[in-house]
Amino acid sequence: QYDHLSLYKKVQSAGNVIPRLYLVLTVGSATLKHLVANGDDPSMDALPISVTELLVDMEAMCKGVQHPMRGLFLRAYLLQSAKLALDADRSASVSFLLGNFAEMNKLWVRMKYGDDSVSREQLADLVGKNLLYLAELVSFEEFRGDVLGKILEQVVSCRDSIAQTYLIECLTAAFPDEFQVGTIDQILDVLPKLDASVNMATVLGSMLDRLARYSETEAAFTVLNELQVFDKISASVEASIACHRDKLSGEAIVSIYGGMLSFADTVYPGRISYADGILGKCLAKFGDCKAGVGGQGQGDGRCEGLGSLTPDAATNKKLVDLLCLPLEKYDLTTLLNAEFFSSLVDILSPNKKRELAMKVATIMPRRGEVIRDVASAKALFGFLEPLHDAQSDENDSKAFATALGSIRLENPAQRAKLVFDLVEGFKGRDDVVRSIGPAAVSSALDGVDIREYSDDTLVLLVGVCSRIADAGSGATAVRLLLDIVKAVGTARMDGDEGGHSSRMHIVYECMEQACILLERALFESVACKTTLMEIISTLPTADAILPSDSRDMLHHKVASYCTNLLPRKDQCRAILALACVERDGPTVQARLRRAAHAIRAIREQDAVFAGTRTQEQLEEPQKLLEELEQAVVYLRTQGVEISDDELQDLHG
Amino acid sequence: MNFLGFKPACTVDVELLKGDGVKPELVTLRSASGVPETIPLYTDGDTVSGVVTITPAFGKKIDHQGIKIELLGQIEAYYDKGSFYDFIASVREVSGPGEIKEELKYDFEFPNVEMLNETYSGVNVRLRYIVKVSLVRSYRGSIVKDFPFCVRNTAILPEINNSIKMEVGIEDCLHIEFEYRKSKYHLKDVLVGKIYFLLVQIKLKHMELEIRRRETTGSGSNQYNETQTMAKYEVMDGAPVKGECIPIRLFLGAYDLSPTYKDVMNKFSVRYFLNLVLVDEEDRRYFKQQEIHLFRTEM
Repeated sequence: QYDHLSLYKKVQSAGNVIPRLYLVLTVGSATLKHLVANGDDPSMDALPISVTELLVDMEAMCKGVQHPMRGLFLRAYLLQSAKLALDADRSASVSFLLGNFAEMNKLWVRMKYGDDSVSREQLADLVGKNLLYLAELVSFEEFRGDVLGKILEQVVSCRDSIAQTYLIECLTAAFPDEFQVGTIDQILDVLPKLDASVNMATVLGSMLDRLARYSETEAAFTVLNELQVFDKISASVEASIACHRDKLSGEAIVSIYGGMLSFADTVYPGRISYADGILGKCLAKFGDCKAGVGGQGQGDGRCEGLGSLTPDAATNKKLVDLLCLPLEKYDLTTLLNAEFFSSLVDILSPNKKRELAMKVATIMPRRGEVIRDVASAKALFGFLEPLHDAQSDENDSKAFATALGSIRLENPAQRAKLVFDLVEGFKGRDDVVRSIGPAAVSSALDGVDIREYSDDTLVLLVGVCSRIADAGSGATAVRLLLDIVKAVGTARMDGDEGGHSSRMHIVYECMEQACILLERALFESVACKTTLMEIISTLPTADAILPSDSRDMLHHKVASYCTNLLPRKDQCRAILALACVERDGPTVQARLRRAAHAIRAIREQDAVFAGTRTQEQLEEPQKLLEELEQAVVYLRTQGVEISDDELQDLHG
Repeated sequence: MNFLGFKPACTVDVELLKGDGVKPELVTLRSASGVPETIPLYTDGDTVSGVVTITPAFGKKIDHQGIKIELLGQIEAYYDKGSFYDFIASVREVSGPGEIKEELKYDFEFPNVEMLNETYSGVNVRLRYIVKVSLVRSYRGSIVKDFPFCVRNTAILPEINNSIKMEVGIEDCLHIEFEYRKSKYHLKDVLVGKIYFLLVQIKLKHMELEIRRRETTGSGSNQYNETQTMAKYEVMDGAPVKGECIPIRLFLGAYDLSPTYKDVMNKFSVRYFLNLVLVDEEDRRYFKQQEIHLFRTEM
C-alpha cells in the first residue's frame, strides 16, 4: 500500500521553495487521484485527509511563490493537478477556483512591473482557465448569486486594462449565453468602473457579438426583449462614456456605437428607430447637443454633449464605417427621413462626405432603389452635393448622374420642376451642367408616360436642354430635344388622339431649337454630320404631329442644311437620308435629283484631281450611286412612285 | 597505547547489554571525529551490563596486575587544552593479578545508573559515556580500551506552549508581522507559522528560515559561543506586496537536532534559534532571531 501522505510530507523537506512546491503538487495530484478513485471503497485504508482539505492545502502552500511569472506557472500547474478532483466537492472546488483565479490574476497583473521579456498577453489563458473550469461547475443560481460578483470584483480591483479587457471577453466566452443574459445587469454595471484605457469598443464588441448570436433563436429573442437588454446596454454605454469622457478618443467613441449598431441590427432588424437612436447618441458626443431630446424613447432627455469634440481623421474614418452600416440595411428614403442620419453625416470632413456620397450614389442604382417623394429627393440632392462641388471630378459627376436615375417622383410635374431647379442651380458652372444636365433630363423622361406631362412642364425640360447647350454640349442638347420629340411621338402612337394639338408647338419648338443649335453651335464641328442625321431620323416622328406647313418649313430647312453645313463628301448621304423620310412624290424627286447632282459633282472633281485621289476615293461615287438605287428601292416599298425613266435620269 | 607500533598483545571486546540480558537498540551517530559510529542506546536509570572478552594474541601470554571495568560519563572541553570532567565514575574489579593464556570472559553489571545528561558531540565540547576496560600492567603500560554508548532521555512537552508573535520592521522600508504557532517543539514536530507583510517598500528577492544552534561553553570571561546553521529553508521566492501572507511549514524531523540543553553540569549549554532572513535585490539581508525550545519526546 503506497503511503501518499508520507511522501507528501517528505517532499516538503526540500530546501528550496520552487522545487518543493512542484513536488508537493505532483504528489498532491497523485494523492487526489487516489482519493477520488477510492473514496467510496471501504476496503481501502482511508487517508486521514479529504479531497477538500488536500486542495486547500495545496493552494495555500502556493503562496510561497510571489515572483509573478514563476507564481503564475506554478498555479497553472496547481490547476492542472487539481482538475481531476474538482467534481468531488463542488462548493469547495468553486471556492478553490475563485481563490486561485484571484491570485493568478494578481500575479499576472504584477508582471507589468517586472522586466520579464515574455509579453504578458501570451499568458492570459493561464488565468482564464480558472474561469473555464468554473463554468463547468457552477449552476446559474450560483453564478448569479456569488460567483460572478467575486469574479467582477477581481476584474475591477486589479485596475489593469489588459487584464480587464481579456477577462470580460473570457467571461463572455466561457459561460453559457443564458447565464450572461440573466446577469446582464451585473456585467453592465461594471463597464463604467473599468480602467479608462480599456478599449470599450472591443469589450462591448465581444459581449454584443455573443448576445446577438444568442438572440437568433426565437425564445432567446423574447428573453432579451423582456429583460430590456438593449436599453440596459445602452444605459451602461452612456454611463461608461460619461465616466471616461476626457480619456476617450473620438475614434473609440464611434467604435463603441458601431458595436451597438451591429447589435441593434441583429436583434431588431429593420427597426430604423433603434438604429437612428444610436446615431443620435453618437452625434450628441460631437459638438451640438441635439440628440437625446425627445428621442424616440431610446434614452433620457439629458444632453450628453462633450462640448466641441470635432472629429479627427481617424474618427472620420470610423464615422463613415458607422454610417455605412445602416446604409447597407435600409433604403435611402428611410434614412433620409430618419432624424439623425443626415445630421451625423453633416459633421464629417468634406472628403469623407464625398466618400459617403459616392457610396450612396452607387448603392442606389445597384439596389434598384427608387425615391418617390420630393422631400426625399431634395434631401438626396443635399446628400450628394459633394459630388458636384468645387473639388469634385468626373467620376463624381458620373455617379451623381447615375443616382439621378433613381428619382421617380409620382407627380411628373414635380419631377420636371425638380430637374429644372437642379440644373438652374448649376448656372455658371458649365462643367457640372454638361455632366449632370443630360442625366437629369433623361431621368425626367425615363419611364414616364409623357401624356402626364403638361405643356408647361415640357417647356421646362426644353429650357433645361437650352441650358445644356449654353454650357457647351450642343450635340447632347440636340439629342435630348429629339428624345422629347420621340417621347411625345410614342405617346401619340398609342392611340390617344384627344387634345394634343398643343403638343405641336412643343414638337415644333424642339425641332426648331435643334436646328438652331445645329446651325449656330455645331457648324463645322465634328458632331455636325451625326447630329444632322439624328434630326433627319426624327423627322418622321415630328411629321406625324406637325401640321403640314410647319412640316414643309422644317424639311426645307433641313434640306438646306444638308448642302450648306456639310462637306461635299457627306452631303449626298445626308440628302439621301432626307429623301427616304419624304413621302411626297415631287419632293422625293427633287431630293433624289439633288443627290444625283452631288454625285456628278464629285465625279467631276475627281476627274480634275485624278492624280491626287486614292483608290478608295475614286470608288466613292459608284458606292453613292448604289446607295441611291437602294434608296429608290426603299421608297418604292413605302409607296412612293418613282418611274424607271426618272431613275434613268438620275443615273444620267 | 601502542605508540611504538607493536602488535597488540590481545584483543579486548565488550558486548554491552541492558538489565536481564536485554540487548539494547543501536543508533548511528556522528562522532567527534566526524566518522559515523553505531553504538548501543541507553536511557537514564538503565542497568549497564555486559561481557568483556579478552583474547590473547596467538601463542602469547599476558601478565597483568588486575582487570577493571569502569563506567564513565565525561565532558571534554576542546578549548581548554582538552580538559576532562568525569561526572560519573563507577568501577568494577573483575579480576585480581593474573595471567592470560587463552580467551577469558568476565561479566559485569552497573545497575540502575543515573544518566541524566544526553550524549552530545559539539564544536567546542562533547559529553560522552563509555565503558572502559583496563588490564593493569606495571611495565609496558596498561591495556586500556573504551567502549562508548549513547544515552538519550525523553521528556514531556510542557503544557504551556505560547506562540511567538511579533511585529518588526525598518521605518518606511519593511514591516512584517511573523507568527510561529508554538515556542516549544519536539524533535519530530512541525513548525507552523506565517509571515504577514504590512509594508513593503524594498524589492525582496526571497525569504528563508534558519535553525541555528548556539553552543555556549565556559563561564565568565572564558565563555565561548559557537553558532551553527542546522537548517536553511526557503519559505518565499519573489517580491511580495503589502497585505500578502506567506505560510510556513517546516518538518523538524528532517534535520539533525538535539533537545535544548541548559547548563549541563555548569559546563555548557546548547540552545536553538529560529532566524528569519529576508534578502533584497541588492543582497542585503534583514533578519530576526527568536529562541525556541526543543524537547525529545520519543526515543
